[in-house]
Amino acid sequence: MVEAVLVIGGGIAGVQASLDLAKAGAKVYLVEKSPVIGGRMAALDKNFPTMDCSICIEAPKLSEVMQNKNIKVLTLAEVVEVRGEAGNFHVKVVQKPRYVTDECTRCGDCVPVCPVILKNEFDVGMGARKAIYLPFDQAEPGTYVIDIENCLNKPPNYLPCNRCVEACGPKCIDFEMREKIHELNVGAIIVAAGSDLFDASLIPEFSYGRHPDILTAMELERLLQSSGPSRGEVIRPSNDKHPERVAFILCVGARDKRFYGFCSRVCCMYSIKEALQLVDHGIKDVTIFYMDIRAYGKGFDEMFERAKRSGVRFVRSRPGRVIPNGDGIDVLYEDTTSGELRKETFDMVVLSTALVPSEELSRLARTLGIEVGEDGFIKSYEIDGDFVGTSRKGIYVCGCASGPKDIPDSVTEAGAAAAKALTHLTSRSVEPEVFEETIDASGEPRVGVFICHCGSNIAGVVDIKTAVEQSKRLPYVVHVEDQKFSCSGAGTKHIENVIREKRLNRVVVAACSPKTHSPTFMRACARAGLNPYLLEMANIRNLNSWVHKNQPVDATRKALDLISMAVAKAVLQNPMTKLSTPVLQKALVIGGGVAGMTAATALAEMGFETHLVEKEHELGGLLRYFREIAPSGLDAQRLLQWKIRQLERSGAKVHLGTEVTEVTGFVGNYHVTLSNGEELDVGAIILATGGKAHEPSWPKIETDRPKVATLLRYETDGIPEDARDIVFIGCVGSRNMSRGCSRYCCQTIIYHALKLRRDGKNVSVVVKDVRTYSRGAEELYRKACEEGVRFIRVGAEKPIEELVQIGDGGITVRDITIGETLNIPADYVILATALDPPGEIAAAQQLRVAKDSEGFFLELHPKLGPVESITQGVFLAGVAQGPKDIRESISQGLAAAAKAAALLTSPQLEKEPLIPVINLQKCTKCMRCAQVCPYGAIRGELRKWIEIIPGLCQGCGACVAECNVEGAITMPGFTDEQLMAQIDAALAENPEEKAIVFACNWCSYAGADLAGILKIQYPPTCRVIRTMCSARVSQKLILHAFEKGAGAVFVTGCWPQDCHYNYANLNTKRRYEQRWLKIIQARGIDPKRLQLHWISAAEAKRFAEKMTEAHEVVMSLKKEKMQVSG
Amino acid sequence: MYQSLLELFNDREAAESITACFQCGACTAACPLNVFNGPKLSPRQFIRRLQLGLPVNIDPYLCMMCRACESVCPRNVKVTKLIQELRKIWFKNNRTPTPLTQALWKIYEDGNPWGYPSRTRGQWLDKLDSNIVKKRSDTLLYIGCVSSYDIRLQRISTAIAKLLLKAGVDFTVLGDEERCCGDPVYHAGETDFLEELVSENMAKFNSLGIRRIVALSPHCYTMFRDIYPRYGGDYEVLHYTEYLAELIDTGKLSIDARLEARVTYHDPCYLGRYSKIYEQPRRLIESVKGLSFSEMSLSKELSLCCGGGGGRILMESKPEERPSNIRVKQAVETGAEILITSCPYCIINFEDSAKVQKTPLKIMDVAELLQAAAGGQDG
Repeated sequence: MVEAVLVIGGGIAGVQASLDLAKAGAKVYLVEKSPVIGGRMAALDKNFPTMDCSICIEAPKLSEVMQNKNIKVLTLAEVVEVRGEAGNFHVKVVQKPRYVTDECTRCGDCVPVCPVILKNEFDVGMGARKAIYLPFDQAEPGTYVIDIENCLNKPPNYLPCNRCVEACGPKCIDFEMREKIHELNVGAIIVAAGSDLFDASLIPEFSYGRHPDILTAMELERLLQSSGPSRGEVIRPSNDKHPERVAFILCVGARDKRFYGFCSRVCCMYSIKEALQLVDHGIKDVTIFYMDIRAYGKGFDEMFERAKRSGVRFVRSRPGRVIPNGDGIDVLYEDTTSGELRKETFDMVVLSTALVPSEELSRLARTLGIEVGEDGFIKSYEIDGDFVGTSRKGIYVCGCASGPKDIPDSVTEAGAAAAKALTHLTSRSVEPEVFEETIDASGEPRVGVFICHCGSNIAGVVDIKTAVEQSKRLPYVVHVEDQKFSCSGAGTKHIENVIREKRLNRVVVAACSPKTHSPTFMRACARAGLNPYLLEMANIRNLNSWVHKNQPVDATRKALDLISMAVAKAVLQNPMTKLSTPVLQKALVIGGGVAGMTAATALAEMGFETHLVEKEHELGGLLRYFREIAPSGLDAQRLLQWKIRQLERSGAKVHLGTEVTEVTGFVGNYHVTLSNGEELDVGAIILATGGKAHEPSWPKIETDRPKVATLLRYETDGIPEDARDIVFIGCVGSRNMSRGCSRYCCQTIIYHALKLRRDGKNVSVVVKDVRTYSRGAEELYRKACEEGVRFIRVGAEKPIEELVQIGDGGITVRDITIGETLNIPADYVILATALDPPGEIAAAQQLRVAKDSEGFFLELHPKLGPVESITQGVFLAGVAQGPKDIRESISQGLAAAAKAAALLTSPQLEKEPLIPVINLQKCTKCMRCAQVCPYGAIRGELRKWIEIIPGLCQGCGACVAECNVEGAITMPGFTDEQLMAQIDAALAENPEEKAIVFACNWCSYAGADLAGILKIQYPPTCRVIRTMCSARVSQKLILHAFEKGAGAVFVTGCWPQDCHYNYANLNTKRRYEQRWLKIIQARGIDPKRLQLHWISAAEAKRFAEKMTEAHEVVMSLKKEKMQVSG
Repeated sequence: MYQSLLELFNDREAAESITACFQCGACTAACPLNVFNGPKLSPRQFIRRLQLGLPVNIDPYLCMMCRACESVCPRNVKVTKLIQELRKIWFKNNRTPTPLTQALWKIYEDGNPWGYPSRTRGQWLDKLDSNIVKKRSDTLLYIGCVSSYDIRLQRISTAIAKLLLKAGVDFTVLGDEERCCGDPVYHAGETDFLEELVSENMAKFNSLGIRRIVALSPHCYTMFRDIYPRYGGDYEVLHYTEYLAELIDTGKLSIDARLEARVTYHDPCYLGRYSKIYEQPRRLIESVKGLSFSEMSLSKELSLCCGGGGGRILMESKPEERPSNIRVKQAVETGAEILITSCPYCIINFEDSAKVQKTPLKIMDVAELLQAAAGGQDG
């Protein structure tokens, strides 16, 4: 019985594959060669095009991996041997010692005493680290690691240094650790080993390494990171000053026959992203030197336009020389659209280096016995491998190991590889942790308070003795003690014992952040028999000792407030149990194109009852019309036949000529009615409804010569033999004002152009940019050029119809690279037509699946949730989500199947119990709550009835804050009583000198935590109250705080586009602007005392600034009062 | 003319070079010609015109064939190959500049492009003690026209010969019987006379049993290595810096020399970018003790052409448009007292520019440096 999968590589692809596998019941070994997981994504500042903070959205995935019981993470580990075959591999993994045990509390006391200073690889050498270190603050596993090669204790150590050993409080440094060998038995292997960055110094003309201000884009990325080496300041390494003129050079190492011929696919967009960030940093003069802007993804063209509007200058040119010139850097280039040769001096030049295959990758390929492609990446097979299969059965590849890829494409492929891997397992299981609850919490609260020293991190600032003494006086507190490291193995064990001995029924741990550590203490409670939701944490480290280290008296006072707030909340907390809803282990796939067929096949192969509904009378969708698939020339009809055969063999039930007429229900339990009257009950739905080929109304008048055909018609009908001069025109219906790139067209027309050229025809291709981004496509483009396909370049500023005239025996077009109008004879003109979104789909409307601005289905998250819809239990695949090629559609089909499988695997769906409860006696059924719910989770009829659908609710609390009927709706864990009790506790003494700060769990609270990690100091005025979303904050809470005399109230949350609850926080904005400000002004409260600020999880500095501003508000108030009374 | 442009596409390498270009413009920005206000050369633009079948409006004889453009090309376009093909067409259409056509006649008559008498070609040998002319040996030290006649450059010839004699290797020279390798003929775009000249040279080499040619000038070196094989030439071809470095490595030659000076080195295009010989000259320089060496900001692949390549040494350039002026300034900026190089054309151009700029910068060939540092009389 084999139930495990080996995943090699802990970057985002490997992480996502592991999670998808584990959730679908597989055991996973995640092998990572470095000390931590997270890969390159962890080092990025922001992601394009969403401008999400990269680590903020990745970190939750990383901790999910660490906490998932089905996943075993092996860091510092390498695969050395693979025997056996698909379904039964025997793998040997060697794991190097970390020299620090898991008891490490991340206090960091070992770091300052370590005498060895080294370059920090995570900061690409721009920052420093010690020989004992953690690569970055949010790293997982969070145990420190010793770089033994550089450690003074490196054997044979005749004179041991041992400084870290002496500094370590919990004594978890162990130089006796030895290498471990793991023998694993797995059914399948997923290679997610990623790529390297091109070494820019190999290109002499760009002078990398010859001037400190010539950087790689990755180095700039670290400068932009607020926790990076310059703390988020963009500075010139030469003089620490801000640059004024910055140039980006694209395609460094890629699209270059001297180095790598392929397109590195991400550089255009990451450069545009960084350019926009520079503009945000106040740098006005930013230039991007490009050859083609490959903004092919969803929202990419929009971002490209935004960059142009923000003043970023785009120059179509590859500079020939970058020459250090004293303080500045000269860039010599020919502007290819004007033909002018220029020399400009910049004060920073950024080289956008390519993602390239690493040495290790080919070594790994040898170990695994799999083939490497000509480009140096792992070769993937198209038909029987669904583009993720390697040359060895049972071994799959995803992410950058099979060619450069952005995050959503990597994440999608990870899901795809997971789906394929799952089919090799003979057994799968997800076992929830079960604890018996032996402690009855219904009686009088008995609170135990544990105050952590965290070495000297807390104890060095806060007077622990006073804190213990004062805490004893708090109501219901029956036990108080201090601990050196509460979170250590011994610490949690002790808490567990005390709970039992003292019959505690509420626990408060005053230590660090609940975001990172509440799972640890909740488990301790559960082990002791106490309901884990009766734990409350007071964050006296990140929010206190670390940020007020020079004000020990104030910090001690604040710690007491924080503890008292936590106790007040805990006392009012009731036991909760995770919600569970039954899941029907059946799936429905709507759409029988290549994406839908792939998804249905994968799900059926995994053993789920799967239904595929297709409105046409045959399968295949758009694939039916294609002869060959670019860039490889794969026979489209052979692929289609293979897909149909696979689908038949899988046992999926296919309903042809059928549509879905009605869908009701929610995640895990949908009721579906088909047009033939059949009814189905399914747990998950995949929307793979495809798109339509654009039908152009161009040219308006039909001519005899040239003849005009769309690409699709050309695919089916071909062209007459005697046609000699052929012209392809790109971007017909794409890249105009309302539509972005259609992705599939460039490579497809180039494929056909080359084929016709080889038949001896004269072939021209008219394009805005050549966007051959996918694997093998750039190489195809180069071949097409070399063999004589002529490319005509037109500007990007207008729709193509306005740039090309068709008629009079050919086309007339102005070529931007020569500035002349050309008449190109043509017998045949072939239009590369866009992929348009599908029309209205009833099922999608009923499922409340949102659409993007172009009419395609909107994904949950553009980066990390590309195949999930906003509606839980509904997944997206193929062109329905946005234009894409066959390869990408197959990939999404598989990824959607993996996601659906994860949902369908356990018969019960577990959910945090954060579902509001309606008191039907008090509720007036005014339905205001339903109107603000971002998920449509509240149903009912005005004045008649109302209900909450737990399956849909995500727990933001927007509804609760909207309700103005006392006690009609409450949010467990964040009740009005609890939040008001926290306010009362915070304002018990000198309220006018304090600011109440509401912070949302995902962004601003995380930002506050990060301010602590970065030790950014701010005044100790604020008292932070955490809610899940700022939308939970209500008028009642705000007025209560002012009534209790708060000096100021600051509401903080995610930037709207970052909101974790589908823009729920726009409610906060509306309430603040339209209601709260007016009401407090009516009460004579100065509006500056109530402020709303968006703070992302990365914006630690901004959090500190806002807290300083809150302090100033409070101080000015105090001054005014003194003047009045004086 | 237009028809002959179309014929370019019949040559596979030329055709591919034209069509492969994706119009990035790196070539134009790397071209040393374009730093001046004079006539410009945009390889990108003329290639684009060839791609689109538009008339070409450049003078192919402006190009110095330095390959700065090719070394930055991401599509491996052979710009100099195209320029060479254009020159052939220009030659057929009588559009070759007069100084070049005149040089061809002089080569035809006197065996060198300057019209010096052929009987004095071996006079530089008078400074040597031993007679090595037409000695039976399979190794030929090929001096080249300019270093045979020019009194200043003869110092290089004797220095190399002395070093080889010191190493005790078996070699010969042709003396008065040496004739031009054909570089100016090739670069003029002439083909018939080139074939004749090359064949005659090879016949002479073969009759003497020559198997290996050690060339003094990178230009002759390139002719023997790249062009002669097209006519059946099959010799081991070495630049003298390669040969000397090899002799030092194998212990046959030891340099016990010392010179206190700040120096820098200029990579000749035909040695560097053409043949990737960057390390051997530097190793030779390093073998001299006491030198303090610093690189110019543009070195190796990025080296700036002196202006003498592609037959340009035979043509006039305006004094203010000479790349050697810039190069000499760059050398001075490093603080160097001596600018070392390993090509006679570079030496001519640099000495000229140094004189015009009134800088005390001394220009020396690598061989001269080795000789001078060893206390040789010609230093």
